Amino acid sequence: MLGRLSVRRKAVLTLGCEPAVIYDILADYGSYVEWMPKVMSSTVIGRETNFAVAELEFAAKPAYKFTLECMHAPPQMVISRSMSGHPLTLKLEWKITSPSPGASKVELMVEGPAKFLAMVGGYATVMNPGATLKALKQQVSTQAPTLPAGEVLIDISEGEDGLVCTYLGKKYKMEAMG
Amino acid sequence: MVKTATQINWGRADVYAVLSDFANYPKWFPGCEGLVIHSATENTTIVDITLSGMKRTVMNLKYECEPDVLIKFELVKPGDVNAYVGSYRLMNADSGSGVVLVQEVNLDAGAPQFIVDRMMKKSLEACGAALIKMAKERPASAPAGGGASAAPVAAKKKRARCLLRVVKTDSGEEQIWYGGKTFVSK
Repeated sequence: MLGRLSVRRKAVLTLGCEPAVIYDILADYGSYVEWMPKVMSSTVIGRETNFAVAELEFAAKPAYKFTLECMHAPPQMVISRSMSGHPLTLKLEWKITSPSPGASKVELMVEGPAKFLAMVGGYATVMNPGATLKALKQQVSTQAPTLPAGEVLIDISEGEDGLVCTYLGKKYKMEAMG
Repeated sequence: MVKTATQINWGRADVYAVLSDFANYPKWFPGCEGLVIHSATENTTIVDITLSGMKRTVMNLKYECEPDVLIKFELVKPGDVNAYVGSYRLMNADSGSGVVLVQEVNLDAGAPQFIVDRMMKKSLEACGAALIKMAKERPASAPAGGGASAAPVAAKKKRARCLLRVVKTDSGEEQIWYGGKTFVSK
């Protein structure tokens, strides 16, 4: 019966950027692997305008995938939850508000099985909204508006064209050597 | 309520055509022993469907169709079961090839819900598997994922993500940004 008990945990963080920057990161479910703690893979299977189906794989149990239905209301809310009937219930609910221009308040509510809290590493980290928000903050910081200003000497960025290096005003496409 | 998502490498119109061809359900729908159509208008069909399972069940169902997008069904009047409601929803696969079928169903059969849900999940998975098998056997009538209402949803352009930046500020110092932290070189 303990396995069926679920718990909710909530955390809030204020970040120095527009809500749209955060929303874009949160609604890009396929990129969760780049920043969300203990996520080993993230794949979008299907997508409609404000709805998507994605799969997340956590380090706690490699090869076991959570199929999530994801709903998003730009730029204030993103909800991902495991599909009904899934043996393990997991829900991530993000709310984004803007307390002042150029600032965003992000609230994350995580709901999952109580037994996840007792698991060191993997799932326990998933159940820690503070750690997830901290990781989000780091991901947000990789977006241009929060980077230091001045004459750019070297910039290495990853985008739709892959890795691009800007060196003394010229752009170079980077490729793996091996 | 039980939900599943199944990726099928077949045209959206093909999957919809099979799911909305109720008369042929006994030929492929897992557990369907028979189906009698009582009335059919453009988008609404009322049927008696006979399903085998732990026991043989006859349900009077109403199907409502939104071509290439959604088929909803619900029990018209309680009989062998108290309630039965659900849907088949079609979405474009993000890979650009095929469709994703999201099935959801809620059955109240008077038995413990966790047992019913487990059975329904298996039933939905079997339905998805039958469609995948059919997709392998029959060629798509339109490009996979295509269909009358299958307007593709373009994935939003991804914002560039900075990994490393070195800048020279107006005061002449160099700032090195890496991993969310800024280091100053004087």
